Amino acid sequence: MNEERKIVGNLKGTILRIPSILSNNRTVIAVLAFLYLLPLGTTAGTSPVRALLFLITQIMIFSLLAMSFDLQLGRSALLNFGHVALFGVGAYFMAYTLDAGFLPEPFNAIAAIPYPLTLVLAMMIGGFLGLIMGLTTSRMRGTAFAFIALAISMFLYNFYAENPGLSGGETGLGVPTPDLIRTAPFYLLFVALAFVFLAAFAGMVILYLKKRTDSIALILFTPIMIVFTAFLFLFGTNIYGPILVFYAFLGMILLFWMERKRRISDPLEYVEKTFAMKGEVETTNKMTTYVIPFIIIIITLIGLAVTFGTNIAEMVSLWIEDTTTFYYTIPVQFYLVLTCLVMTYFFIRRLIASPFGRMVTAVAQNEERAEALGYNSYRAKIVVLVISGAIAALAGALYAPFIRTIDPGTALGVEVTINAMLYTIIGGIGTLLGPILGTGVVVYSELNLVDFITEGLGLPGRLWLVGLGVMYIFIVLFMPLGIVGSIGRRAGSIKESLRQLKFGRFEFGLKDVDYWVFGFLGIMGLFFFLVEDPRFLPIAIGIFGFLGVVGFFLLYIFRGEISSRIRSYAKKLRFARGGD
Amino acid sequence: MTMQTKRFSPRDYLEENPQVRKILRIAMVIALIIIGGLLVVMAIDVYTWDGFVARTSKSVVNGLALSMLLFLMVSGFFLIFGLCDVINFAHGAFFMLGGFMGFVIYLGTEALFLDSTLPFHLIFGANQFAMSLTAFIVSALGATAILALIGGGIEFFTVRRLYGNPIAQILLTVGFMFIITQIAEIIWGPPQFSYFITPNSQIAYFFMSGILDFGEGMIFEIYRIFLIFLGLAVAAIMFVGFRKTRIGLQIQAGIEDSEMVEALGTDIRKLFTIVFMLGAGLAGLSGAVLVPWIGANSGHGLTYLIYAFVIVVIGGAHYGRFEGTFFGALIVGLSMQFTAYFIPFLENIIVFIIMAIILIIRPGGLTGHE
Repeated sequence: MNEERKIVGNLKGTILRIPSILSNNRTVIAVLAFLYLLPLGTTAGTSPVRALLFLITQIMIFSLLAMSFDLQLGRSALLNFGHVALFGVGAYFMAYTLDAGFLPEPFNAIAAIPYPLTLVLAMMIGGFLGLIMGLTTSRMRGTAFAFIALAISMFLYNFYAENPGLSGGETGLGVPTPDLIRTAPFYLLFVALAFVFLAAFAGMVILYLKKRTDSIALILFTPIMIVFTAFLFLFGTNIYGPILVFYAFLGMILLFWMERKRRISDPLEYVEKTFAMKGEVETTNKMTTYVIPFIIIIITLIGLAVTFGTNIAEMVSLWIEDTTTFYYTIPVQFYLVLTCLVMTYFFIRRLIASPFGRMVTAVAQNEERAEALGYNSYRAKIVVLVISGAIAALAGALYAPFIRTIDPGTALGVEVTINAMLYTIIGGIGTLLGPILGTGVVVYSELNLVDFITEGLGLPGRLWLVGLGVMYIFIVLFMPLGIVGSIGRRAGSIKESLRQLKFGRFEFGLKDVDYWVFGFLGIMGLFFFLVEDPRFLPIAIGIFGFLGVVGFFLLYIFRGEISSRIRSYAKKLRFARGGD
Repeated sequence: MTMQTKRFSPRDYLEENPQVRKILRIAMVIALIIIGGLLVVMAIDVYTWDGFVARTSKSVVNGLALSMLLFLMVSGFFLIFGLCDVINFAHGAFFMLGGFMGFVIYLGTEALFLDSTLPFHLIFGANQFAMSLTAFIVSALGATAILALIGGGIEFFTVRRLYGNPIAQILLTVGFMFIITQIAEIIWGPPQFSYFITPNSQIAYFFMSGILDFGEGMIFEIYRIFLIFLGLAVAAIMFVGFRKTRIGLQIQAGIEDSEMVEALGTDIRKLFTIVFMLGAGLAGLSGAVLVPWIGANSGHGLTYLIYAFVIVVIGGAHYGRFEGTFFGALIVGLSMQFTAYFIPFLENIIVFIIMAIILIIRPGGLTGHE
């Protein structure tokens, strides 16, 4: 009896914690809801979204690699030149479990292991290799560790390069897609996850509107409403779903007005009503706290189900007709990689915030001092290496079936380490989002720089690597801490001035709770921009126009600072001319 | 019950008895050498003992030549790393570009000498040996000068802004590596093509293709023996320069403690630029003298960059001495050529095995400390 009550109590506590979890991760939830929504828009045929999904999957796999690299370089100051070894063992293990024809007799039994389990096993193997690398750290710091790791990775590379029986020789090793990825139940599992995230998104928006009862919230909310509905309208299969979702958004606005009326009609009267007359705190309003939000969330989900129901049903019917269909590979791999990335992201965030993470940071900043304070720096580094190795091996294990052929050059070459290093450094080391953003920037420009050089600049396309090098040099000269690092250093002052933004009598102060709007609009605008379809260009222009208006506001706030800078620069010039 | 039994711990025992530890260490080294020798003998036995003397002498000559070449290149990398604390990823690209520069300048000079409208043939007459030798010297010096200018320019305009931010320096030098490699690929073609001077040269007699024959398969190419002496000569000049000249002493002191050198009144920024020019110039020189033997190839950048890493780490990266790099280059070059002649499947791996063993025994490399 007591046990049951305890379980119920725990459950109740968890449910009651949901709103605070939602309002603590606004940006993440908004972006994730959109990313999970994206594959629902692809039908079984071809669609422009498919190519984009492929690109995003590639970016996310390399983001995992870059995050594991950043865990070493950014968090624990371990420069690792042999990081690719961790990636490569995962990739080759996955390749052997999917096609064991290359292994000799007793070893090809690993092909019997079912697919998701092999991901875990690959992570364990990567962690074990990380442990082996870590066993050398006790006496080795800095460069020595980097080069032992380089030796290990070069050893593996040459081993595979000189054993064509294991690596497939010149053509490389063909990796088949796992059978599980081609099945509809696996797909439906991720679709359910997508709906969970979308429900979380709707709940988050409701909580935001209930908390932020200024008119500014409405100004920020309207573009999201329009753009989201437009997205459903353009990529959905019918018009009824988007209309339902639009009604749900209108319901949110209704909730906003109800809450606003209740809150700030007259603060003194409100206090009088609640405390002086009744003598107790007013109980929560059941209507606006439970009933209307749930109705809105359910209408949103129904609307989304109506919008994309045909697509999902078509995919499932394809599975029933023919199990070897290939339509699943791109969306399901996208979902799988996205889920792995989300789990890794939250795991690393939790790890950094934990006491162990603080200890790792302390060891990275000053090893002697950390040891003098009684921390075991050796153990901290080894644990970081094992975790990082597991994540890198996961990236490799996801990469092998995604790219379909692996050879020693792409899975174990030094270039992969250098790439991981570049992704991390360009994004900003020691930041959570940095590796992901850096990977996105580099991979996208690697793929599209050729077009830009040939069409935009009129130069031969062979110059693309030169263009990439020039881009790196400019990034490093103007953003020496990486994209996220350089912006993050100024974020405090920018936020402070945005909070006091004013136009005449109209206050336009942005608070911390408002920034998810820009994250969501940014990723939607990026999507419409990347789909490269002229139909969507007006929407992209609209979104970027809105963001541009915000940028104009920024200029408006900083006008004093800018003009004083220009004045001081002009003064300097006058001095340089000869003091007249 | 309260009595505590002290557990026997080998580590404590060894710390209390330093003599036992010393004996144990010597015994371990001897055992390692014996085991290693046995392994080598076994590995050779698996292949063949035929022509053992010829193969040994060939591998000694080739190994010495390769190690001198590597020493020329890596000493530049070591100087930049030691003094400026910049891991120069573009060094391999400098080396590769030096090779192409040497190739182009050699052919250009030769064409100039053979041109009958110009007065050069009055100097050389029919002496093609002197002609090719002069062209070779011009090409080596020209590659050195061009690469020194490029290195100095890169330091002066970009790296100078980023001292004290090692992560940004990596990104910067990788960017330059990409740019140089890709420009070389665009001009001279992908890494599948190598450019040698000999087939492109117009002169039939060529001092680089000469052979010394001692019979019984002991055939040595004169150019490789020349390389050994060239490397030794440059090494000797550098050793003397670092011991005797003012700037050499300043550089060496800067590697030990750059802040103190700055406090004593040296313009360390100028020193950095000079070291960058010196390092890139040495890379250009070694690239240029590599062309007659291994060739100029746009893929050399990354390959030789890794060798540079390995040699510098073996020799002692942090606070290391110049001799360390020399011995590191000797170890790498000789071991690579020995394995190439005796245990071919280890040729690409042996360097990394040796590096791992040395780093495990001495974490700071041969001459450095942590």
